[in-house]
Amino acid sequence: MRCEYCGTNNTAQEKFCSACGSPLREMKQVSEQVGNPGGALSGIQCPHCGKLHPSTIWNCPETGGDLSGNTDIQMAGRSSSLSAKLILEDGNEIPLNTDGQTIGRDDFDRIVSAQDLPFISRRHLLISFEDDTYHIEDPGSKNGTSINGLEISGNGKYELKDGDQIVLGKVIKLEYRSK
Amino acid sequence: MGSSVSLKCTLNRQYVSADKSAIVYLAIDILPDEFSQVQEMLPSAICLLIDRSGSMRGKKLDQAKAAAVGLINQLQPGDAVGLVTFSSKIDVVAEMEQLQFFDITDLKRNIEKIKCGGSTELYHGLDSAYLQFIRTGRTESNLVKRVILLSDGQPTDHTPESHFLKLADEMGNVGIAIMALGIGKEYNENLLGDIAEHSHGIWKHIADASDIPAIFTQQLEETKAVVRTAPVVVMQLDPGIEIKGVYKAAPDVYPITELSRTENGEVRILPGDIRLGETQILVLRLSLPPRKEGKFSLGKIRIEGEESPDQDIAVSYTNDENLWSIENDAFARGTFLKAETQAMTRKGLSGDSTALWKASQQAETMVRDPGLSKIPEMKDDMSKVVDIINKSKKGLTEEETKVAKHEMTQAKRGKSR
Ligand SMILES: [Zn+2]
Ligand SMILES: [Zn+2]
Repeated sequence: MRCEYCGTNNTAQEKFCSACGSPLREMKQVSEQVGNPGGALSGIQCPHCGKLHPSTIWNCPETGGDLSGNTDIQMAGRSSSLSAKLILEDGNEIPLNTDGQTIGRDDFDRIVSAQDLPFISRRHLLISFEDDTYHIEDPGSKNGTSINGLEISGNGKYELKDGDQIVLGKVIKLEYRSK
Repeated sequence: MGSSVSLKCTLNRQYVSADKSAIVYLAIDILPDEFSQVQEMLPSAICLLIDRSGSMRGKKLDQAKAAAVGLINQLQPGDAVGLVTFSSKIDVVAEMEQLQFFDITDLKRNIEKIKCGGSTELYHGLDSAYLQFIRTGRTESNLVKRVILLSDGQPTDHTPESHFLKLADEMGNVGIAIMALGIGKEYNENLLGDIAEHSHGIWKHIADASDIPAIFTQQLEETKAVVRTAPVVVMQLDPGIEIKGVYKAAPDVYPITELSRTENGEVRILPGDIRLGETQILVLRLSLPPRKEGKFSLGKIRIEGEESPDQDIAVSYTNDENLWSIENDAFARGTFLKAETQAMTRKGLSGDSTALWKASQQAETMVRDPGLSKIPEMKDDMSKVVDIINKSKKGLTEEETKVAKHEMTQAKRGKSR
């Protein structure tokens, strides 16, 4: 069963999520108070990335596109992402947005093991979006970053290409997907 | 020190599945002793640290002066006070001293003479305030120690944030809490929030300069309500257990990111001074190793220097699905998730759209989680978070953002279960 809190897929025998410890059970239908009928599978279908986002946000977390003025809709399921992301070995994804973002330890909390977490700095990577491409920079993290085996820490911006293999702190492997 | 406090520890699960690892949540309630009401008030040592940069000119500085005088008028013999101002340079207007040793007329005249001008050298100001305590030997534990900082601007001293945090940590470790009051829309609430949290203090947004005297008075009242200074929660956990996250969840809410560990493996957490009738709550996410069937102790928790016995926390590993599939008390988990959501929302309000997105998802899941519906105020608090996220969707002014962020540092106060 898929954990509604952290998205981890658990085996049918589990009663609590192995990653976050939440009970795995049917969630209630959402109350009118939150104004989001249908619960997690409802929200805004994003005109920018095609994904389903909660109705409470005003910018697409993937592309940064404006979502104000979009009305909530019901969906049968989540459509697949159309936008850039970093993918971990276990399939977890970190969406990239065009506003520029910092990727650090918090982003990997509950995604990687607690033993690996200390190897990621609080501000490990800076992502920027220039000339229609994502750039990545390690401003000098403690344990470094390599792309396709090349150390980039402290060496300025690197232009990401589809399929680039990124290793953070020598322990966390990520792959860049442009869509 | 001060009066005694007691601990109450609750796990969300009493049973976990045998031969498997598990994630459980632990809440530690720190309650002041009921008899503390008859205790004498602890003396305070307060250093006022006031921004007198050019932008404070006019009503803001006038009200700050009135507030300083008002606070001094309410102090009692035995309380100590000092006053430092900062702009391009630091001025020690009054060296910290007990009230009865001051010439009050003289002191008030010196406060009246404070003038505005120059930049905002906050770091050196803070350091100088800290020195007021150190130089006069005021680090002992029966004093309630406070820096009341008032500023309206972004620091101009280019000191890296890490230096501020190190200084705030150092102050927090000797029990000096920074009450960081920000006025207007120019100041850096993230920095003020961080130095407050690292010193176990609070930050507060002041919308209107005419509120400054009342807020100083309120800070003094809260100082006077302290019945126990700087308690240290000491946890000796079983070596197989990992701490996956810690939040202070009440009365204020913030993540505790740096844990100090002693050589013998004890984890020490300082939740801040305890006020009369107010429960402090720490919440932890713990990862338990797989074990055979049977009852196992997770470890012992105590308050340093307290007579009261250690709290032993234990879970039973079992093969009986009827037992291990139950969440016995969702309070610890719900409180952890609530604190986590509030912290993520705060990050989101600072411009991190991914954090805001995660916060809104988590808040909605929590509202729909039947296990959490029995926890008092959970629904109200989560609705407030959803409401703030919704509002920020429509766009908040700088000042509204500061107010919203401040709300995310708060929990319903002083309610014990
Ligand atoms: Zn989960
Ligand atoms: Zn989108």
